Amino acid sequence: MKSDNLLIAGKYYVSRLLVGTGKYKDFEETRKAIDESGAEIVTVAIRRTNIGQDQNEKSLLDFIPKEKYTYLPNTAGCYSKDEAIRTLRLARELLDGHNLVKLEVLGDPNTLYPNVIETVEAAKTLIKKALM
Amino acid sequence: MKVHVNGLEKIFEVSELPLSQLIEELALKEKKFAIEYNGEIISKGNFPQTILKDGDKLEIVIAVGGG
Repeated sequence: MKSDNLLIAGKYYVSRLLVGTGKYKDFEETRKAIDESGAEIVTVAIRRTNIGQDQNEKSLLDFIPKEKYTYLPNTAGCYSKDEAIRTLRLARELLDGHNLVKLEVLGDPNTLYPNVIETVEAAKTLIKKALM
Repeated sequence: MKVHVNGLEKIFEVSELPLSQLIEELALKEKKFAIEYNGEIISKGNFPQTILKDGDKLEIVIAVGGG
């Protein structure tokens, strides 16, 4: 193990690059781009599923296996501390108890500038209660 | 009965419905998702004994590209 490896929550990472998984043409392109990037940590969004969706519709998790990558579910789209915590609790259930997150509480819908006070409050609650 | 699923009203002819049956109806069985039932997260093991009633609210989420 090289001494400059990144250590987070007991796991070593060779790459310090964290990448998002949005804006790609399809899941295959997402997979290829992330693979090429060498990143080992990826961010994902948590969204309501479409009711009545195609049963055979592919999932991001099929292309970016969580056994290979560390997922950081994020709270983009949340405008309050409570909303962010709720999203992350659902993410933890979805990702089988995974506790690492990317936390941000938004302040302005146009600029996506964060609400720093709410973000810090959400972080305090999450740390104190370990996601409850 | 009426059940709210992700903000949409779904009407069923029965007065009670196991959550596991709804999951099958929504073709979610093979998918990776998480459910909030009336504000509480329900683990998969508790789906069969969770019985939906009129007025219940469900939020079903998945992981999507973003970040």
